[in-house]
Amino acid sequence: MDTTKRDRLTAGLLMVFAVIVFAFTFTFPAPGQPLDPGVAAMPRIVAVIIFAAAAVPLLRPQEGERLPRGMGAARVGGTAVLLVAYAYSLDAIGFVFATIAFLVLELLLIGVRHWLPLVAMPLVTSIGLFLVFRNALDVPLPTSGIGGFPL
Amino acid sequence: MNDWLAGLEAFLDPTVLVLTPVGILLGVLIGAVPGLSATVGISIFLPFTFTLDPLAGLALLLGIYNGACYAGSIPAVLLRTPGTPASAATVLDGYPMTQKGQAGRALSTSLVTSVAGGLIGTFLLIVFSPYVAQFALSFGPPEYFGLAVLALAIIASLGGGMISKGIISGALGVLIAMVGLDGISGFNRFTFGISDLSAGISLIPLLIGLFGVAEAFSQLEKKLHAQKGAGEVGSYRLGWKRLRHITPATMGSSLIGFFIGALPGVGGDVGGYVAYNETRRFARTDRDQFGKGDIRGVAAAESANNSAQVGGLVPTLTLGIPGNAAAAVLIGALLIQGLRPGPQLFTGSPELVYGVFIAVALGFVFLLVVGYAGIRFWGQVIRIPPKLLWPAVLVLSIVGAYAVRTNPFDVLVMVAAGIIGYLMTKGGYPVAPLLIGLIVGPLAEDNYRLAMIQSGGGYGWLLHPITLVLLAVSLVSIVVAVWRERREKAQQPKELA
Repeated sequence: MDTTKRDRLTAGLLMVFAVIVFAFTFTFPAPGQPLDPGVAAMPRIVAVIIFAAAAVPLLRPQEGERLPRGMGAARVGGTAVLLVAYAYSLDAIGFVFATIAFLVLELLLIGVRHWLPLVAMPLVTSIGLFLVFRNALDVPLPTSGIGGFPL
Repeated sequence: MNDWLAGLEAFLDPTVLVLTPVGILLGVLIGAVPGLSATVGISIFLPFTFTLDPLAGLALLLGIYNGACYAGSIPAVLLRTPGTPASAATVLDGYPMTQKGQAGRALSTSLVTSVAGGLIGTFLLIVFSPYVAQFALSFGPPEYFGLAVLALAIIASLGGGMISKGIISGALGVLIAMVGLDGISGFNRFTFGISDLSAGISLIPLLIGLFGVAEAFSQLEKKLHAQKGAGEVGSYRLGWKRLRHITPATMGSSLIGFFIGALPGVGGDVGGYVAYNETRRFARTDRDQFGKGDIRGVAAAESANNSAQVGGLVPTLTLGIPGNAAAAVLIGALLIQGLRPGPQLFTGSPELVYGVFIAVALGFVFLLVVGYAGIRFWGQVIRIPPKLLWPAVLVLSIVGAYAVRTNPFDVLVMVAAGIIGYLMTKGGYPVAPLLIGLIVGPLAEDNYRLAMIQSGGGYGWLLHPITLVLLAVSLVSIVVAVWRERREKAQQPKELA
């Protein structure tokens, strides 16, 4: 899509979003005390500001940066998917195993094919960070609990 | 004097003494890599400070904050690619010096003037901050509301790009800050029954996502190749004659940079450009050499951006309003420690405030030592393989987001923020106003409601002298920015013709 058309579409979506936010505030309760403007007041002001400001790029759209295509898009999209999977796997398989899996897949995704970085980087990063955070900084990163494995 | 002694005692803690130079060293390594700005660096190292004492954690982060600002000049000089946005103006004369075979001299100038600018900025920070904090103690809800509006207006108007997009970005930040339990009424806003949202969207995962993850996405869309080093660098020696030649530019630019940096929401990039232009305008000799490898251009840009970086700590520490995006992350670090920056910090925790002053000043002295010791090495940092660097940044980001509450939900928030930050950049929506909106949003809303309650439900409080001035300045900054934008647009077709 042309980047100016995309800019106009984004502005239109922002205006719709502002209208939804404004309408949604009518489900908020009335202020508890008579002089308090209430929980709905500020969201309404902000919604009006977004609506008014979005009218400018709607009427005078700008050219923007193009979104990546092909392999570039695959790398960005794939990384986002891997990050979500990583988030869900942290508590399930522990930090070390989740990090190793994430890093191996991420390195493959961005084109690393040599065995040394594929093996060494995930191992060093995951175990190193785990030990630093858990032992030196007392930040409880999740453990795997697999067969009583300490990591 | 007692406050200074308390600050010195806090600074002499062995952990603080070690972490101050460690922070500087990390900052230099981070800033030297294009794409890794001070904001990204502080974001990814934030989790390392969660269990440290507040001053130790801040010493580490402030070292990164100031070290990265200097080191951004290294790729700016060697590769014509600013390592951080603050070094954008350094390219103008730094790279032409490299083309002339004077890269070594440009790097030495950058180091010396960064340290000079930083120390001048620190002196001004020490002089002005207590007065600003003292003055701010008299502020009530109307004045704080005015300050929050001013911060958003300035960042929207000076943040680069279309002003309306800056305003939208800031407003979205304010809106995101409203998610969760309302402090006054106890009502859950915009939580949609999701219990993880009741406590609000955690600031740290959001800012790690908006800066660290979004930048990683931007880098990963390209074909990643390690940078080649620069060719002939020449002598690193400056000599007294050259030092005397750059002194006026350094002094003047440091002052300009500090006062621009002290404006809420404005960073070293604006300070660097303004000081560069003013130095060129007031140059008595060889004005036409600027842009062709004039050593004064490097001195002006670097002293100003480092001074501006320190200037950004004035509103951050005294008012709780971030001076720039990286300072917003520092506010996040203080909040995690249960400390709220603002005038009360000066009365409630003077040992922390004065310890910070000492850490910043000595940090620049460390920077001079560390920078000079490794001046031949820092240029090699740009050769770190980005295919290994950016996945490591992503893992550190995940750790940072997870470690706040050990909740995977925060990691999802971070990923979502990363995607939003990436798409905003593509669409020309600046991300910094969103972050400033997140910080000042609650300040604006709480004080708006308190002002309304205290004034009996009317809007008379908007006419309080300080509030009125702050709102008028906000309006003027937006109007001037709109006028400037329209004028630039009108000039574009003429230039093309």
